[in-house]
Amino acid sequence: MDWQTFTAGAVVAITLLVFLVRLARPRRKGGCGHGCDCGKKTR
Amino acid sequence: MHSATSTIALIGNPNAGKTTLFNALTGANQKVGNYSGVTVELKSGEAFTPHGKKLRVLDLPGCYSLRAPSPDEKVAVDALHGDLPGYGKPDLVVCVLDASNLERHLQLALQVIELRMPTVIALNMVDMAEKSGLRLDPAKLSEELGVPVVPMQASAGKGIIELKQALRFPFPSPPDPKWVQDADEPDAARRSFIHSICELAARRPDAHQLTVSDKLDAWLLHPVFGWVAFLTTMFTVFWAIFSFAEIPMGWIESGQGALSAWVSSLMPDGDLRSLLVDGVIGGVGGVVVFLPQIVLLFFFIGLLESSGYMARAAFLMDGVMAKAGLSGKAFLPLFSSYACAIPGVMATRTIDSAKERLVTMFVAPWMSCSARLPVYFLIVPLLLHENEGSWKQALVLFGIYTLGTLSAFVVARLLRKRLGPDTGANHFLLELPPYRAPQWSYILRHVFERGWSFIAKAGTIILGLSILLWALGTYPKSDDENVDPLSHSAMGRIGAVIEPVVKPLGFDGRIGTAILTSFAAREVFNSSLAVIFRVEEAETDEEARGRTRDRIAAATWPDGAPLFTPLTLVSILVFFIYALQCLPTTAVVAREAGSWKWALGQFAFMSAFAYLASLVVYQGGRLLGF
Amino acid sequence: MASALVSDLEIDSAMTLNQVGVGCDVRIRILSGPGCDRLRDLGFCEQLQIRKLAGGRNLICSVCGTRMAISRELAEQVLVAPLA
Repeated sequence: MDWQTFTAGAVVAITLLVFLVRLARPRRKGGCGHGCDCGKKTR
Repeated sequence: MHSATSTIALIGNPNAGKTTLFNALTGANQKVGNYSGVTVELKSGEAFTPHGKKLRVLDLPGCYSLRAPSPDEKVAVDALHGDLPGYGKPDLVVCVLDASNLERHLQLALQVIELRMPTVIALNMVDMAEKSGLRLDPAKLSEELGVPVVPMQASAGKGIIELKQALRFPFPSPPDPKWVQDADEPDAARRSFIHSICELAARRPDAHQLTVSDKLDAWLLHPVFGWVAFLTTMFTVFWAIFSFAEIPMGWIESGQGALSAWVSSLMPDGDLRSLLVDGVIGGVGGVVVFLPQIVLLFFFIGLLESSGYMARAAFLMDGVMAKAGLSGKAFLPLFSSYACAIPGVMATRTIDSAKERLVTMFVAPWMSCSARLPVYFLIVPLLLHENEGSWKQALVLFGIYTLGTLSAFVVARLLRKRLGPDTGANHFLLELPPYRAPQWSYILRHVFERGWSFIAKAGTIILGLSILLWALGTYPKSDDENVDPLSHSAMGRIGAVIEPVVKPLGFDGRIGTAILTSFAAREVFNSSLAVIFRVEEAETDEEARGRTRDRIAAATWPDGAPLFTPLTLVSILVFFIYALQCLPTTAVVAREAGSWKWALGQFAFMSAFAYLASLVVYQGGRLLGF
Repeated sequence: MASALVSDLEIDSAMTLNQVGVGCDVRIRILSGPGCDRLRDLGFCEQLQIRKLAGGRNLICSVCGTRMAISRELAEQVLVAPLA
C-alpha cells in the first residue's frame, strides 16, 4: 500500500468517525445548525 | 448589590421596531422585516448599561393585545408572565410603540402597565411621526401613564443611550394605572383614556392624508395591475439572479480549475491526489460554485422584505390562497420557505387557525428552498443550449417555482377539506406598513451571514459527505484493467441495486445513487455527480478535467445512448421539486405541529409523490415521443 | 333597558363598512360579531373616525394614520355612520 492510499484511507476513516460522533451526540439542540435565521444561538 | 443578571423583555405591536431595537442593544443581527410576522419566537441577547451592569434582553414576537389569539402572540404573553419554560418572569418590560400610531399602540401599552411590572416606554420611529406632522409630548405622556417614556429612532441608533439610562439600577418602581380604578369596563376605560392622552400628547393634524405609500398602493394593490406588478417583479428577480451570477460563477470555476491543476502538480497520480482533486475540490466545488446565486437570492429577498412590499403581496395573494383553503396570512410563511422551509414553518405561528397552520406547514417544503438552487442551476442550463439567453433560463426556473407553488395550493385545498371546518372564526386582518427605503447595512450584513453559512455548510457537511462518497466510489478496487472502476466499487454496486427502481424515472444507477445521497443534503447531489462522473483515466492535461456540466453532458448508458436527455433532466427537476430531503425540516414540523405522525406522514407523502411525479413525467414524455 | 333599546336602534339604522363608498370618512358606531375583539385590538374602536380607501373582497381603511386591510366578513361586523 503506497503512502497516498494510506493517507487517503486515513482521511476517510477520520471523516467517517466525525460523522458517527455527530450523529450519536448532536452538538446543537433545536435549530437546524446551518444558518436559517432561526435565531437559535448556542449558549 | 444585585449580582444576578436582570432580564428585560421587549414587547410591542408587530412592526414597532422591537427587533431593530434588540439588534441595536445587543449587537445581534436578528432578522428584521417591514411586515408583521417576522419574529415568531423569543430571542435572547445581552446588553450592558452605561454603568456596566449586564442585562439579558428578550425580543418577543409582536402582539396587538395580551389576549393573544395566535401562537406567536401567545409566546409573547407567556414570556411576560414568566410561563415560558426556561425563562423566568422579566424584571422589567420595555414597551416599544410606534410614535405615529399611538392611538393604536397604546392599547397594548396600557394592558402591559396594568400588569404592574416595572415598565419603560420606548417611543420609537419619532422621525416618521414628525414627518407626518404629529406633535408629540413625551413628558406629558410619561406623566399621564406613570412610566418613563424615551423617544427614539432605533433604526438610526438614536435614543439608545437614553433608553439605557432609563434602564439603570434601580429599575423604575411598578406603575399604578389610574385609568382602571373605579372602572367597570376596563376596555372602555382604556379607550377613553387613550383618547384623552392623544388629545394632550400626540396631536394629529389630518388623519387621512394621502401619502406616497398610498399613491404607490393605488397601483400595486390594483386588482389587475397589482398582479402584473407582482409577477413582473418575481420574474425580474429570477432573471437578475441568472444573469448577474454568470460572471462570478466563471471566476469560481476558473479558481476551481486552477486549484485542481495545482494540487495535481504536487504529487503523482494516486489515491490521495484523486481524493483531493475529484473528491474534495470536485465535490465541494460543485456546490460552492453556486454561491453567487445564493447571495443574489437573499439580497433580493432582503430588498422585498425591507421595503414593505411583502404585506402587499400577502394582500394580493389572499384571493388566490382562499381557493387553496388558506388565507393571505399563510403567504408570508410560504414566501419565507423559498429561502428555507424551517423559518417558514415557524412563521406559521402567526396564523390563528390551527388547521390552517397545519396545512401550511405540510405544503411549505414545496416552495423550492435555496438548497435546491445548486441542483436547479446545474440541470437547467443543460436543458437549454448555453448560448440561449438568460431570460429563457429564468423562464424555466420561474416555471419550476410556479409548479411547486401551484401543486402546494392544490394539495393544501384537498388537505384543508379533509381536516374539516374551523371551530372558531378567523378572518383576514393585515397591517400595511408604509413603504420604506431598504436598510442597506442590515441587508448587506444579512446577505453576508447567509452566504457565509452556505460556505460553512459546504466546508463541513458537504466536504465530509464528498470524502465519503469518493471512498464509496473508489473502493473496493479491482486489479483488472478492463473492469470499469466505478461499477466495481461500493457505490457502483449500490447503483446496480437501485437501478431497476429508478430506471422507470429515466435514471440509471449512478443518478439513482446521487439522488439517494441528496437525502442527506440536497446540494450533495451536485457533489455526487461530480464524484461519480469524474474522468477515469490519468490526466496530464488539466483542461480535460472540465466542469461537471460537460462531463455530465457526455455521459451515456451502456448502449451508448445519452444519459442526460432533456426528458431525464426534466424528470430530475420534478423529483427535486417534490421530494422532501431535509431531516431538520421534518424535525421542526414535528415540533411545531406537536406530532411526529404529521411530520412522518409529510415525508412519506412527499417521497411517494416525487417518485410518482418523475415516473409520470418520464413515461408520459416517452409516450409522447420525447 | 333604555340603553339596550337605543343600541338596537343604532344597529338597525347604521351601515356596515362594506356598504360605505370608497373614499368616505366615517365614524365607527358599534362593532358586533365574533371578530370584534380582534378588530378592537387592531385599533377599530367605537367613536373612531376612519376612511375607507378600497373595497371589494378585502377592504383597506385608514385607521389613525395606519393602513389596515380587513376581509369582507370582518367589515360586515363594523357598523358605521357617515360624517356629515
